[in-house]
Amino acid sequence: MTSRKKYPHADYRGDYLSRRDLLKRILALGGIGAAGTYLTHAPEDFPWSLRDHTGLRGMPVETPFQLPDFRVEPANPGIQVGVGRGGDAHTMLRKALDAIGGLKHFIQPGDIVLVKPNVAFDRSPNLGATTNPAIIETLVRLLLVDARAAEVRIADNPIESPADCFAKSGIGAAAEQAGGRVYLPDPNAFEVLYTPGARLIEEWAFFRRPFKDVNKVIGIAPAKDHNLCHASLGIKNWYGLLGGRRNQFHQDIHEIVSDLSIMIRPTLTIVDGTRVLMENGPTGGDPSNVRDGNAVLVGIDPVATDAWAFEHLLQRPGRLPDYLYMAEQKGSGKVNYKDRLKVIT
Amino acid sequence: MRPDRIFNSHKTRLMRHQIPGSENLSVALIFVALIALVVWITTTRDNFDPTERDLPIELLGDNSAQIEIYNRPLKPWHEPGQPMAGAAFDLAPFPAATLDAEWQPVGRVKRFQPDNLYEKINGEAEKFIKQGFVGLAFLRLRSADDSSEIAIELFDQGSLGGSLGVFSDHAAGRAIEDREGVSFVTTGAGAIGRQGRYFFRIAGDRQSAAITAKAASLVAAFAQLGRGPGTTTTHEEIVPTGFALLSQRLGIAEADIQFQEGNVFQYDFAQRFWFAKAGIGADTRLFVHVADSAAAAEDLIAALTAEHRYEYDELEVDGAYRLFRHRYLGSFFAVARRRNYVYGVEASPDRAAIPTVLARISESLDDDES
Amino acid sequence: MSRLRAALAPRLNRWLRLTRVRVFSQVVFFGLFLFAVWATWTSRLGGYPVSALLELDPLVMLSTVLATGYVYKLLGWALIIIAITFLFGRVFCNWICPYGSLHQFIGWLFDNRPAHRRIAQNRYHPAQFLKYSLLIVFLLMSAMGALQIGLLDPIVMMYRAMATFFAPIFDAALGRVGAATEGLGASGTWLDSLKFAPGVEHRIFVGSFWIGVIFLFFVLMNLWKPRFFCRFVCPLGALLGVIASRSVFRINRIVEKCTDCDLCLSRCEGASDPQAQVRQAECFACMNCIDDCPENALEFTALRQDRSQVLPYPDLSRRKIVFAGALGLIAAPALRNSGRVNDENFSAKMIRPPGSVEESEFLERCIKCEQCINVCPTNVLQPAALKEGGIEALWTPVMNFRIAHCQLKCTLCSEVCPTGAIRRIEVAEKLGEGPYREQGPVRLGTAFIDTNRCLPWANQVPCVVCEEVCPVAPKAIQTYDEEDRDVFGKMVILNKPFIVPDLCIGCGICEAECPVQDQPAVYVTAVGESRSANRKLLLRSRTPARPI
Repeated sequence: MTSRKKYPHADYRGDYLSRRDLLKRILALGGIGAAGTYLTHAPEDFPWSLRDHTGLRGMPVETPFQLPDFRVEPANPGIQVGVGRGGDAHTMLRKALDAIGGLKHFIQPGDIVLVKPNVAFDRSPNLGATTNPAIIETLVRLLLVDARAAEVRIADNPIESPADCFAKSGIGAAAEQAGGRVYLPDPNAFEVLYTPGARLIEEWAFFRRPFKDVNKVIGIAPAKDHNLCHASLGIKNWYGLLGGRRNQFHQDIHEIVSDLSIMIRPTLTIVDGTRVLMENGPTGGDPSNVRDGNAVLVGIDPVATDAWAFEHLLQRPGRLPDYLYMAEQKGSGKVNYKDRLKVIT
Repeated sequence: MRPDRIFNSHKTRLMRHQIPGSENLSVALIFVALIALVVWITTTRDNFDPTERDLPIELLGDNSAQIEIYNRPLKPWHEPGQPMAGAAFDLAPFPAATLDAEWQPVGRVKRFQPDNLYEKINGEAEKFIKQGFVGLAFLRLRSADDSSEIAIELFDQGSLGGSLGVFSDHAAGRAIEDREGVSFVTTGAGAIGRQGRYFFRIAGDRQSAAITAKAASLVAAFAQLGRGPGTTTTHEEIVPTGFALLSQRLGIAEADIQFQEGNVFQYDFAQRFWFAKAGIGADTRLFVHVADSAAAAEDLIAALTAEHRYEYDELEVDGAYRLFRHRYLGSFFAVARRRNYVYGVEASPDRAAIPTVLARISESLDDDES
Repeated sequence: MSRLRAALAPRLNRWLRLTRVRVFSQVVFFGLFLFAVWATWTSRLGGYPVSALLELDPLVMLSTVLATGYVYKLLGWALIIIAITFLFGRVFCNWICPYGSLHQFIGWLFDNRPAHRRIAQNRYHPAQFLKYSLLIVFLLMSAMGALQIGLLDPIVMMYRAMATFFAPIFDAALGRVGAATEGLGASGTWLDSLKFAPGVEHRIFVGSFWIGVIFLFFVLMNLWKPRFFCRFVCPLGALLGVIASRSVFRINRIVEKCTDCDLCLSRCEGASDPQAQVRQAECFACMNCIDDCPENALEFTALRQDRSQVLPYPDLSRRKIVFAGALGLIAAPALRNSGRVNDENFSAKMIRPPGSVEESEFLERCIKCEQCINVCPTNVLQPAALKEGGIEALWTPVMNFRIAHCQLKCTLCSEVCPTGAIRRIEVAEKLGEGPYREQGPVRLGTAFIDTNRCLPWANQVPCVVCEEVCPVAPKAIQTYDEEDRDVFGKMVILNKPFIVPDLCIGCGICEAECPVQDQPAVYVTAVGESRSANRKLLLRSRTPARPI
């Protein structure tokens, strides 16, 4: 009996790593290591470097945008404010527009027009806290039919629920019926706006989305009492395009309103004096606070427009609100409306 | 079926062999019923009107009218360590008659100087400073009866000329009344006026009989401005010679008299001129300037002549008297001197009428010589 | 023609079978459910029956009737489901219930087991009695005034999780897509009509994570045991099981044809033993067993039922009933004794939406379906966490004024509430105008000023945002006006706000807009809420024109 050692796997042929493969693997690992080392350790200004020595590179950088100037040379430089009085809202708006040379002078066919009403609260239109929907409807129709604008957008960022405010104020329905398009704010609709010369909102979140490709802007504000700045008129209306924590602005309300006047240079500023909220503003809520002002103003100079509205719609004798003088100093217009105004009754 | 698949890989196979017709029928019925349900629900929308979930305006009560809110008056600042208000309430420069039983001050009298005037009337400030503004005193009054308020701004313009200049800006085109030396115009809820070197604006916060009455009594009270005990204003400050000449000697209404502090005729050397309507053309004005001495008056006319030659043709020269005609507008400008008085006519369309006017001024100066 | 019919007829015959229409029905009802959640929004609500599935829920009806003694508004519709159950058994569970459909779909989608294990997993499990015990506990609690069925009712869970957990995730995703495509020429709002809540900045729901976790837990349990929730937990299924015991139609096994192959169990949803004596209370009438029987031995029929081949009643011994009953009897008082729901130790932040009934009545009605929270346009309504109302009021609606405020002329929450916890009120009633002038406005609470944090009071900085936004006329926030010299020597006029409780309606807009954001200097607490006579603040109003 022969006892021979038996190798049960003597026939086994393994799949051995060749020297070439080993070399390849070392090269590959070395390459990955080198690339990793480069990315993590190369100085910051080297291409592809991911290094962030101070922690500042990783900070988000917002690139603010700037708004163009939407103003148009007036038909008659001597007339900066048109006032229409007498008749229904529709008639008064037409009269006011005629006074400054007609809408067609300001809107060219094919323009994309943004209309900014004041839809701040979920009040019914007859309480005077929001713009009269009848004027919005007329304006949108005039823009689309008479001036042949390509598109009319309506946008606001109200204090209360946007969908509700547009519904209850009747402005959403009026705008859409006339062929306008309503833009509601959402978190992705805001971008940082750079306003040179503004003291409080030099860089601030702004409701940008509806402004894309827009070449004319019309503000349309109701005339309202305001507890802190005395009156919420055409300039204060632009507040509704700001985002962010707006409630800090009450610490210096006149500065912010005059900043608003340089933030945006509108084509026209319309002040709706059909239902003037005389007191308990800007929220209102009581029909006894509302007066029929029987006027619609269309202004090229927003400061003069607000000055006339303050004296004649809110019927406040004496001094105008400070922010109008500050707006004048910032170059947005002139407080003195005398001789620069045309009233059509 | 493979075990590493994520999703179900069983094939659904129908195992039974026959499906009864009754099942087919009921299934078809259920299909129809479900589709009908979907159609019914999606058409339930009843054309909702947003105002439906609002309150009809007729139902809204006039709460603001029914509920009386008492507004506590502004609590004025009191510097700790100073005696309390009351006796020490410093009303100056307002006359004591500013306050009465019904109208009491809200806060202190606030005073502003040229360097901080803009804090009060930002934007408007330049207008006042140009006219020699010295100080502003601001006071608010509140009625004990109905809590309406009146704001009074009292500008010290340094001289009658300054106050007159500011006043003529404000009063342009409105009927000017005169009461005990106070000239004023009545506005919707107050008054604007001047007395001596003071210019004032009174503005109520609403239109009411009480405010109108108080404004009138304030106007009357302001007759005492600058005349109280301890004031040191001289007669010259109250009524300057040039003004007296025009208004008293020539009898020109105060509203038609204007004063220009500097930069008269756009010349920086010409200062402190009085203007009034000459009664010739719409834009024609006569002017008077009181120089310090006859020699100074002579120098002024010489300087004026030299500058005028750039735009005017010199038509007549007779001693101190000069007559010019504008090269393009064709209007006439005349200037003359008597003692330290420089006077003349500007922008006259009519050459013949000028000597009459100048003679009138000259005559009025006669009395002075005696 | 006849050839065409000959070719089509067998296909049509195979196509028109019960399992097909069952799937169609599940899709329809799931779609209607999603539509209801989508339409529960201020700009869409217009007349749609958005809470209909809750109103059809017999468990909601039964438990609220036990708690309150009455049937609120449309809850009587549940009789339709009961009638259907009398006729056909638990068809609700497998033909209508969206949560059931979701379970079935997930179970089917990931069911990768070999055939013998598919059969094994669908055999009846003795623990399926558990849901009947839960039902007994919940119904006893309801009868004693602590309505907690909403914690486990599948329809309620579905509404709750959709509204507070999935809808915001979905909306945020659509918003991102919209923003991303904006640069490509789209308007950025083109997806808004798909959003659950268009036209708002993003909504948040406090504690919604746990709502989602519990919801997803039961969904994922399908991977382990198909229809885990429906077979073991669902109290609604238990109720329907009891009702279905003697239904007219049921699955009937023709024993003569049966070869005991157990193939009928491969896809049996209810684990109801169709291969033996069918357990009628467990059967969902999914009809899968009929399709899976190669011998045609199973049928869904009213006629010729073999009465020896059915176990109609739930597998519930007297012992189990007694234990469940005992548990149910101590559960309600135990919850109440936890000490949050009473008029002494109630949370200052337990502020209920307008129209809510008095607190103990509220808890007899609220099923935590979060329809009110879903419809709320400002996002002020939040599911209550433990800190507001303890375990008993978990996920009931509560107002969080740090997030938003209650809009003055909005009564949508009262409109969608299926059970009357928030009674249907009109705007006129909310504002106390017109016919409601005598009773005054609905007050949610009362605002107070923290003068230690208020900018004009504490820091000599002008502010009064609160006064500006106060919506009542005249304003319930008035000011003391004072001249002051600030620390840098500058003269400032400070308008120091104070609250007029006679006028305040507790809408919370002052708190929401206060710039001292993290712990607002003006804040609303529940005291003075008009729904409770025991939580009044003022003895009487100081102005007769505005009663309290």
